[in-house]
Amino acid sequence: MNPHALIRRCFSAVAALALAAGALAVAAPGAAAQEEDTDTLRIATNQEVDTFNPFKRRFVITYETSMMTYETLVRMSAENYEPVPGLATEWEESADGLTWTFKIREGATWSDGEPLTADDVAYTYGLLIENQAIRDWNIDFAQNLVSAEATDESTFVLTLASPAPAEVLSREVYIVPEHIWSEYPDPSADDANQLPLVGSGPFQVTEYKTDEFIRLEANEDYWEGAPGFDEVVYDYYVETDAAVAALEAGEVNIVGNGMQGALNPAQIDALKSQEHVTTNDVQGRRYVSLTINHGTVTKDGTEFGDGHPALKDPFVRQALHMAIDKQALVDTVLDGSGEPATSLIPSIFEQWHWDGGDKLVQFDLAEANRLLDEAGYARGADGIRTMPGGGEPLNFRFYHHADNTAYATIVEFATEWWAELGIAVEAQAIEQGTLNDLAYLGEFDIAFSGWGVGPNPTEQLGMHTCAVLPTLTDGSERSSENSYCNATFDELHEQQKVESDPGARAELVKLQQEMLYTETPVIWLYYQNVMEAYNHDRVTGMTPQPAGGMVTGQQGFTWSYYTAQPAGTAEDGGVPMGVWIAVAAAAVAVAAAAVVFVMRRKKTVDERE
Amino acid sequence: MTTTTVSPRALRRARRRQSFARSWASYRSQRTGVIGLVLLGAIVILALAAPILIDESALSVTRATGGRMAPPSAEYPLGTDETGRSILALTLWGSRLSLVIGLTATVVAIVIGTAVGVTSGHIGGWYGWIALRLSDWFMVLPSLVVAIALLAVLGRSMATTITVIALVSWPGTTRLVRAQTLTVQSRPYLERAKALGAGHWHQMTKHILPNVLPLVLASATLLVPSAILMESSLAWLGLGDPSVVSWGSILNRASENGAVSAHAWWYLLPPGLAILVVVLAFMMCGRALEAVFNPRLRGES
Amino acid sequence: MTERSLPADGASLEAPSAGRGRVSSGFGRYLFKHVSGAAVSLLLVLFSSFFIFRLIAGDPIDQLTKERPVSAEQRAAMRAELGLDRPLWQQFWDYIAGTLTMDLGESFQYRRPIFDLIVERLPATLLLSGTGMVLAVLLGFWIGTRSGWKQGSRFDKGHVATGLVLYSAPTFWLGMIVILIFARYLGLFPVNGMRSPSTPPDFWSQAVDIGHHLVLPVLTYTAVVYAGYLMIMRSSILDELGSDYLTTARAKGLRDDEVRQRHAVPNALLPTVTLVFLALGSVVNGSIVTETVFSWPGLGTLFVNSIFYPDRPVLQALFVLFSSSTILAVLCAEILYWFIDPRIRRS
Repeated sequence: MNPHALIRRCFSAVAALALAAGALAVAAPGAAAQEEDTDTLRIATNQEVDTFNPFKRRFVITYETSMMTYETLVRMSAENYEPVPGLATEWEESADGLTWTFKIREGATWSDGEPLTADDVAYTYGLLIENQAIRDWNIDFAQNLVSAEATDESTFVLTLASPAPAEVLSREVYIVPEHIWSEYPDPSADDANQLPLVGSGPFQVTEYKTDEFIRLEANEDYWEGAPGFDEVVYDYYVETDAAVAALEAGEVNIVGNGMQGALNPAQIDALKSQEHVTTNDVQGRRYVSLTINHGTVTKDGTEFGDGHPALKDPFVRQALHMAIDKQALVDTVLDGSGEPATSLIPSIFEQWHWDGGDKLVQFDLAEANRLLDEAGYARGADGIRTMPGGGEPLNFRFYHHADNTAYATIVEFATEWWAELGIAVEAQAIEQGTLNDLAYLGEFDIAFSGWGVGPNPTEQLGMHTCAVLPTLTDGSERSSENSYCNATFDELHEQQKVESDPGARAELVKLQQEMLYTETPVIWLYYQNVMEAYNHDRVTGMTPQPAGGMVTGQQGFTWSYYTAQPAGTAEDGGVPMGVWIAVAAAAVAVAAAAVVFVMRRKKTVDERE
Repeated sequence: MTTTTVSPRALRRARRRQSFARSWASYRSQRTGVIGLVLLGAIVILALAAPILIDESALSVTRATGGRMAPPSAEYPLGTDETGRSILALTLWGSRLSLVIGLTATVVAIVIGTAVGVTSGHIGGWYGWIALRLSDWFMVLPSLVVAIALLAVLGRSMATTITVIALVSWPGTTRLVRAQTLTVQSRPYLERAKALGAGHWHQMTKHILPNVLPLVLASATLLVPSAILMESSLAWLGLGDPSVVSWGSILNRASENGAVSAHAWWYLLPPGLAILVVVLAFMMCGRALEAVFNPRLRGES
Repeated sequence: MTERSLPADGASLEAPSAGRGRVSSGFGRYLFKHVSGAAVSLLLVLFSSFFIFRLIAGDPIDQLTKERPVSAEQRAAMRAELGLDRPLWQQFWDYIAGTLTMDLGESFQYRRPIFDLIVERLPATLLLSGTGMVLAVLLGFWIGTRSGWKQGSRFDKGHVATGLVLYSAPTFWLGMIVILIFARYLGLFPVNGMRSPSTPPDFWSQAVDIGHHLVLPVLTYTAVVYAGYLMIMRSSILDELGSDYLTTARAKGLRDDEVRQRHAVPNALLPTVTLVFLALGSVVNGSIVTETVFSWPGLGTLFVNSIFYPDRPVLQALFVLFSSSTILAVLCAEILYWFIDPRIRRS
């Protein structure tokens, strides 16, 4: 074989392959079209769509699209998450709390023009009762439903097995159109909802391309009036950095909750210097906590796991708590974007949040040392305390999520503080999956946890009741946050669940939080702020939730995107400088390649070095 | 009998000394090799002296006094990280773990590789075939993919990082050693030793191993930089132990905390340059060693 | 072989299997030996992939329900839907049968067929690593030829030094520095990703946009790996330097560069061509890191994201894909070697 020919063929094959690949990538369907006369609200996201089926969706992104596409009977208010009318104009709970009567709004229509009636509502709630798969997916709520009926065009009656006023009003059941959904062979399937979706909300999902965009078009006949923007488009950015750059460049309007791994302080700082960008650093719904293994038990009282015996002692847990400077963590780890936590309801829900009052634990290493001294944990020769009467040293396994550098920093802080108490810590970074496995098996001493809290406190408090303790010791039942079980707490919990008066209910909820705080099965570290930014040259008038709060990550109704108005349009510059440089670079590269090819054949004298 | 008899052991020792001197002279004649060696020496001394130069308390987060990601100043010549610790201290202390991980992983890989290489070459048969297939298999697999997958399974700690790096690095040594073993084995003196009744163990340790070791040494010097690079890549991807201070994990923290968005070049440059210099130093030494022990390359500068 | 391996001078010419080509009385036998070897490797990959990723601890359901309290019934429903309630042997059988028929299952994370995911992301990976590799090979071979030819010259020393320094830089770090300088400080190029969502959908706008995004990743990738090809080519040329045929050619009165281009380069190039195939393993490694640092939407990013999820079916499929492509590339190199190196045929 002629070697020249072989080489040339090799090269051209490789080159052709690369070219073909390039062409392929380019030829793939293009990104969102940008029509001149359409006002588009562009939101950055990086989260995949799990399913558009509102009964099954779990991700934040599909929560937002469901909230825009469909509507609930009752909304959560923009001011403070209180129930306010949505599709239902008014509602009434029977004296025994088992029957609820809703008046359905007249004049509401589906986006395909069909009228929305109480029959659609009855059909939707009926799915929760009769469709086995949908029922399973929502069993915590659905198991309490007895019947759902439309007594006339505009009256819907829901019957319960036991009273649950908070659940009924805060549970977001998205009303779906019967005339479309009854055609589906299986309404619980992921593909049961073909695009464009038909809903009654302000925007409906019309188009979705994986990793490219989700488009929602405005419902011009929306009963409350057409929204300000003609469409909402979620654009995909893999990294927050890219979304930040796009916001700076005016390519995207909002960066916030849609991005998983939200903005960090450094990015917010970078954005603050941009004149067209408004940054928002406001209270969020998320807490970060340390779960303490105070003894894991099953429902029938069988102990399992191998937690350190000292942690069963509330004094030790309180000493640990006292030796954490939560404010320092907020300042360093969050760069001040958050606040020290008391218990499990973040202060954003001010009506439910318990502020600690005079029970608030102050950071005090000396006092913590005194507590331990008094409880009989004497220091050994190495400075590490041991169990009363000698024996096992206080050496705790401390597990943190390996992919979270903030947690790693907290671990460093806590380790140093607790060392002052004579408590040793074996910190270990563990994969999230493994950490969960160990936590539910009770094979840990201290571990990180964290939740995004919803407006209904029952959800979070319920994770600390005896009812959700596992029945098996194999760690497969994962409903209890930390094997906490206290009869008084459970009693309060049952009372608050059926209490219709918000004020009285808040008192009960605060009592529950106080119990958790003083018994310290969990140390709540901080409530994390939400950081978001938007282009105020393009978007104005967004209603925050709660008052003075977030514009992304809203709950119960899409207040901000519905009220958003297009602002004066900024000009879109021509081709950026970089494009020309890129083209030039590509040209140089091609030229270089050509030179290499030519050189091999050329007979010149210019190479005499 | 007046001739002085020299004991065979002394003779061997003298011969070794001589050959070492020859190699050293040949190594010394290579400028890049010498520069690499000096660089390496300096780095190792710095790493060992870290506790003397900067107290370990500089790594404490509760006692950190600097601002959040503050640029270089008189007090913090290389700026601070997001908890206010000195980047200089972190980089200096990071050298210890990066070097330890790189060296340990290499030693483990070399020991496995040499053992498998010598035994498979010497014993052959089924065992040799299986060992060869296995090392070939590991060799063709994309190492980073395997390392990432194994770390995800084994969990993150220094020990697993070392294990995983060693696991993807041994086949190269095996192949090299095996080939060399086969060459040595065909030499007449080994036939003679065999005829004189030398056992496998004797043959392998007394005849094959000494002949193989110089090459192993040279290839080891080239394995260390790959191991260090791999450790840093894994740590940067977030697969290292985040509580460990190594150059890779510093860079991981830097990118997680938005150092690029914040234009915090002082957070990115020192650990990265440190990796670059160490890798370069090892590479220079390794190339020089290879030239010494691989006669085909003699005469190259 | 770790992240990337730099062949030392001269070490490059040992073919992948030349050392152990014991008996090969014909092409058929040679082919059979290597094809069967590759087949065994592929089977090992197929089996190990299933079991390795099953060892990842944690309940996938936890990931799917992240941040939401779920009831036991919901968990059971999800488990059934993902087929996790089936016995292990049955899952294994489904996996083997599925992989062989290109039905790779469904991703936990994306809830879509993995085959579609791969097909969607493959072009991005091919574009980045293909362009990067072609540039690195051309640059490396071009400089390597001149370096070797003028061994010891200032050109040689300068380029070997530059190559070595760049080669010593961690890819991800170089990427971050490049982003810092060219994207953040100078603002010439996008920070990361492959295209801007606001670009008009017509072909040329898209092409320019992708090209614009491509520059920094390719620059980084090429900078780090071209030194490898430089060294290979350089030592290959060095091997040819003393050959008789070069002396003959010179004696015929050919000019120096003619001798180089017509005689030395073709001969030196032949053995290195196979090395390009062998380097596929390091191409995969490099593209994983480069894609991650630039958030390039290719298979490498998919792999890394899936590790953190962890998305077991995707990991399984990608592990098989990456590994089998390197195995097949090595097989190609071995077959090619038969035609290139007469020593194998002779032995």
